[in-house]
Amino acid sequence: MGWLRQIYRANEKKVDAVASVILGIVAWDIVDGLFIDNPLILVGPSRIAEAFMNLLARGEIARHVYATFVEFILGYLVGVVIGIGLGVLMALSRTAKDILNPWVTISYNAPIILLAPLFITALGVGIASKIAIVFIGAVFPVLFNTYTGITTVDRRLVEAVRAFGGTGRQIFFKVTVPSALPLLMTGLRLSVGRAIIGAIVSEFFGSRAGIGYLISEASEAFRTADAFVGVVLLAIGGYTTFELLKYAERRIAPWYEYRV
Amino acid sequence: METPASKLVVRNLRKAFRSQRSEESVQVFEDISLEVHPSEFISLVGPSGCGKTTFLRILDGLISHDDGEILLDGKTVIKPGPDKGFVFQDSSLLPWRTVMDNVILGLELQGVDTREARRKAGGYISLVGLAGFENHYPHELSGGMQQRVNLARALIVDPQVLLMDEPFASLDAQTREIMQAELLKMWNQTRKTVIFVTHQIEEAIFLSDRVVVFSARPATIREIVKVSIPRPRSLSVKRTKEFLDLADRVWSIIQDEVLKSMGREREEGMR
Repeated sequence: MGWLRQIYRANEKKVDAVASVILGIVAWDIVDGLFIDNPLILVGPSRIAEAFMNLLARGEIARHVYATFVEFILGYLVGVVIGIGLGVLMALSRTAKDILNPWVTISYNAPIILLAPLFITALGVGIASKIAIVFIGAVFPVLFNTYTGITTVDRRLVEAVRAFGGTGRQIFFKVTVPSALPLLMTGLRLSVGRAIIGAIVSEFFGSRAGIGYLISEASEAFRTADAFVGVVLLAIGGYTTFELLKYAERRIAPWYEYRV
Repeated sequence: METPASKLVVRNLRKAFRSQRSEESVQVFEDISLEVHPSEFISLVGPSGCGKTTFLRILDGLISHDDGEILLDGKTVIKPGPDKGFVFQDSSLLPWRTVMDNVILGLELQGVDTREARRKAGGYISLVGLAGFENHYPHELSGGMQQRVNLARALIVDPQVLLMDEPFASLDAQTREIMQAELLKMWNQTRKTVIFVTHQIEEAIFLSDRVVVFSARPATIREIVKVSIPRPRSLSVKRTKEFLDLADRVWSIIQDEVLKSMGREREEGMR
């Protein structure tokens, strides 16, 4: 058994995490099957899997995932582009910052859940209102992190490039942009969660498809297992995007954790 | 007319800093004049806070001055550029660039083709003893090695004058001694004109042809001490009587200035 212990030692963290999840799922299933046999109160993993297969066979999964994905990706991309744009503008121009700052602060602090019904009344139950709400969720972390990344650039590096005759333009592209990149990447990652919440909440308030629609419609019809399928899909989607961006972050700026 | 033998001429330089809160301005330099010969190694020492580093930044054109002129090869210095190489106290290397790409920075800013710049950089990386480390990132290097990159980055632009701002200040004592000896070796090979700011008197004497001693603020040149210890110098020269006598002399001038400025501060405090 020595070799088993060795493998465990080498991968202790991963083994513990995977074991914890598997045990949790098994326990969940046991409690569901043996103690609480009421699908309204609790549905276990095997029932969720069953519901998933049914929905998949009817093409429902594809329809809902596609709808939410389109809302998410469009709102997110617009949010990223405008967030970076406004962040750069506010970092470079004192006037722009003074003018935009109150609006940014107000909009950032308004909860999405309050804005969602207003957007839907204004833009209808179609995709436009969803994109707008996802956008509101995504734009601020990107904006703030872009702004902070640019304004906290190391003055010593700027001076070094200036000492070798660097122009303002060269300083911006050779120092400011690369040094702001890691924080911007963090902003991209943080806005994923907010954007997904935006998409789901907007679907709760009125839609014909999407994972949020699936969850709310299934709960109302007491199809708890179907609702859980939606939750699991969201969890997987969010986790994957988050990890992908974290990986990209480490690839793009491996130096960041060592900076002085 | 200055003598044609001068590489760098500073004439009647004045500089005052206006403090942001009050209208009052603080005089930093009062009438500094200095002539530096080609291939000369000059050190600037003086009491802490006398403005040595500011002086160096003015020579580079990073900071403007109020009055007087600075001529490099007879041309007025207005702004930073490839005719001057600056070596900073903290290496200030770009952390996302490898050693190689940090070294070519100066050439790249001038618009030199990257491939050509890299070819040229190889020689300078070897010169500073970092061959084999071209693809390392700054965070993978020790403080001493980072300063070697810092030096190569300044040398590659083939500057007319090398301005060094306490480049070894953050190194430990042993590394510092080694770097001093290495710097002299490199200087022997390149024969650049060097202005070296330090607060370590023995470092100044060991490296230099002349040691310029600044007075307390507002700074003027208090004295220029000539070091005639023959070259090439090895580290053991630091233990000779001639060396120690020179160090004593420079130290007593600085001590004098420090006491004077303390007296002045006390007077101002009482007023």
